[in-house]
Amino acid sequence: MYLYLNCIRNSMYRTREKIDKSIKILLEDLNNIALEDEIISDDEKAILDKINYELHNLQTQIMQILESDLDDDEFHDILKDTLHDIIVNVKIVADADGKITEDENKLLKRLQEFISGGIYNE
Amino acid sequence: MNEMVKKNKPKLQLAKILKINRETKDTHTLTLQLSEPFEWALAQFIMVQAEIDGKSVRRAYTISSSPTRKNLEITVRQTDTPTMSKYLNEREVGDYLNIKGPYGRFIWKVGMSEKVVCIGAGSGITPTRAFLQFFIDKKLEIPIKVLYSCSYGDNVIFRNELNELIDQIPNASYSLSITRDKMELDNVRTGRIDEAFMRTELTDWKDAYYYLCGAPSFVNHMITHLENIGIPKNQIKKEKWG
Ligand SMILES: Cc1cc2nc3c(=O)[nH]c(=O)nc-3n(C[C@H](O)[C@H](O)[C@H](O)COP(=O)(O)OP(=O)(O)OC[C@H]3O[C@@H](n4cnc5c(N)ncnc54)[C@H](O)[C@@H]3O)c2cc1C
Repeated sequence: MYLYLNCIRNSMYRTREKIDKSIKILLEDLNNIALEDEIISDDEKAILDKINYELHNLQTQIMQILESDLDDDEFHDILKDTLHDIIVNVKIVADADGKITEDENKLLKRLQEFISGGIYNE
Repeated sequence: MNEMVKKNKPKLQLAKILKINRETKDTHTLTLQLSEPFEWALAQFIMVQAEIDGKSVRRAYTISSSPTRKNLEITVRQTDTPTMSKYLNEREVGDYLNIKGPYGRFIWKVGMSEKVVCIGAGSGITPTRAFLQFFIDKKLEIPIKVLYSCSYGDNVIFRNELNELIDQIPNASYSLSITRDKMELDNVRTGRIDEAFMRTELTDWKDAYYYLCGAPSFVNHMITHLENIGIPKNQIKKEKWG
């Protein structure tokens, strides 16, 4: 939490490049987590696809807002809410069959870490 | 001034839709009643959150009404592959929206400049409407010029309202440019807002505050034209979406 607050107050991170890079690293990381047992199950694939979709959407929306004249607190308030939506939306996919497996949970945990980190400290 | 206003950190709240005005075939203005009224500044925006097809979606909308008006309004153009914009345009009077705001420092205050130029394209006209209402309500005599660009005549948002607002401001002028239609109407030019047009239109507006709003490519072109005709960067404010 402390790290998150620290990061979100640091405006030097509020750039398109930094956000793109963080998201790229996260996606690679998630793929590696899914591949730990050398098989990407259908459930894992559904989560990865959903995360991909949501992060792509985040990029489009946040990039528009990024260019608005916002102060950093406002920007990070919006970012925090948008990231929260991602967790909610991905959990819906993970829980679609009524259970969240250990492998699915690992992906969710990594996503949650990324989001709690304010997406910058990758 | 809005009644009972509070200046607080943005907080998620419910807003009731009091009125819906159809502006064009794909654009509506929603008049909202806030459950926790707040004060907003010219051209700030709110975030609207909704559950759409089982997922949480959040989008930004400029407040298209002046802070001097009682109700907060947003004007939403439905995009070609819409999510939130379709959801909003399908709402009915009496429905509630989750909103949070106001956000943004993209603001102009009396005293900031002797003149104002608003340049918008498509749905990027929403903040201009708020500007014009503000000028009327505050009885401002500061010259204001509006340049609005739309692809087709049918897409012109606030078509009559803009003319009516302009007529009530002593030093206001308005030019509508239609880029893809041939329109034989008074005060409508065809073609893009290009550098040559700007040079003629803005000869006496070098010291104005410029307020640009529209799709990124439009806004970027406008910035280049303005810089080429000698408008300093610090007089140009912009908002891009789409
Ligand atoms: C600060 C700010 C203020 C805004 N104010 C307004 C406003 O006053 N009125 C308004 O109608 N919109 C406004 N927008 C745009 C709005 O936030 C949404 O992006 C828009 O309504 C599309 O959302 P959607 O969920 O329907 O489509 P999405 O699912 O987000 O996008 C669908 C597709 O449409 C494209 N797209 C996104 N926005 C637009 C657009 N405006 N025009 C054309 N294509 C687009 C995207 O690139 C994407 O490919 C604003 C955006 C920002 C950042």
